[in-house]
Amino acid sequence: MGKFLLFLLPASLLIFAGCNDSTYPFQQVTDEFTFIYDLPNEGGVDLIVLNCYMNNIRTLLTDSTQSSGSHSSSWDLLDSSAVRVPDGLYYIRIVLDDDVIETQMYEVYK
Amino acid sequence: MTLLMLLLCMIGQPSGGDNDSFSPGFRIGFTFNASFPSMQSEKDFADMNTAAGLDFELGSTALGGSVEVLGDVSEKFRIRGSFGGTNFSGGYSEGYNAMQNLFMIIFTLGLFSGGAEDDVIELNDQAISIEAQAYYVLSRTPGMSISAGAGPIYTFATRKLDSPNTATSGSGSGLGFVASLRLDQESTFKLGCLPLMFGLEGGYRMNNIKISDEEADDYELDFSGPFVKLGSYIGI
Repeated sequence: MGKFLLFLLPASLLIFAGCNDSTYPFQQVTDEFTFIYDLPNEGGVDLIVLNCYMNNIRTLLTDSTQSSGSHSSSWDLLDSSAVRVPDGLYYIRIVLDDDVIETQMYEVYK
Repeated sequence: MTLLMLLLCMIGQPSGGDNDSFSPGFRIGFTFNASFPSMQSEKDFADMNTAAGLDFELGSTALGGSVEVLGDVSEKFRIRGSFGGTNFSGGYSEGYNAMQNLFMIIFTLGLFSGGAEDDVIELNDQAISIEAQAYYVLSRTPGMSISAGAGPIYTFATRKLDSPNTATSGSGSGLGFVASLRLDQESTFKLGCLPLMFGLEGGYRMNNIKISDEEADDYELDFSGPFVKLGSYIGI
């Protein structure tokens, strides 16, 4: 009986771990959030928010000169008309000197 | 479909007599369609997801079916009308970790395994189309005919994107154009009392639909591309 329990404990842990295997490569957000990005070198940075139709719905930063290294910014889930965006998938493009260096994905819902 | 055709051919009996001369008639049937749409916007969307770190898989083939009516106007001209749907999909899914799966099987003595993949993001583009086409019969024998034709196509399309907590959908409609070559069986097989015929069609469709929703800002679902259809018809 004791040996059976020894098997049962890790088994149940694995089952629950498997059921909650939420390793989504995107963040789920419901309110204003801060995101971090790394710049390989100094240059002009644009931060652009796109919706799931790849339309620019908000520009968070335009040609702002930033040094290399880690930086952070935030998005309040508002579009360029200051209206909260509908639930859905959104993408933040980090553009350095006109080159997209990173795209981050967010699932926005209420 | 091919197996069904072969089966029908085996159990069906060729009808004799009236195949030697042309007689105008109609046939109605179902087709299975496979097309290879351009879908450049969806490819760009998939690329954006991949850039965001998702292994986003987009199909290359759109599959569907339609109900068709094909009629001989004269010995040299033929018309066709159809109503059908087609589906193009893609998405991102996750499975259990392989090592975790192995341990789970060992520790549960095989009672549990990782199970099926979980569809995290699902993209579905669906089109409902009405087609009208006129054909010129290039060659006709008692058993077979080859015809070439073209005509307009009107499509209503929807785009659905589902994620774990959200569902986004948009729709639009538009006019297009289709040109194709048909190979039709002219001699009928009697399946019981039903005169049965088969047809094969291949061609190119120009059909670019813009999603009209405000958010979409004219996002394009481009169903343009080559297609092939295989149909079975009942002669009327």
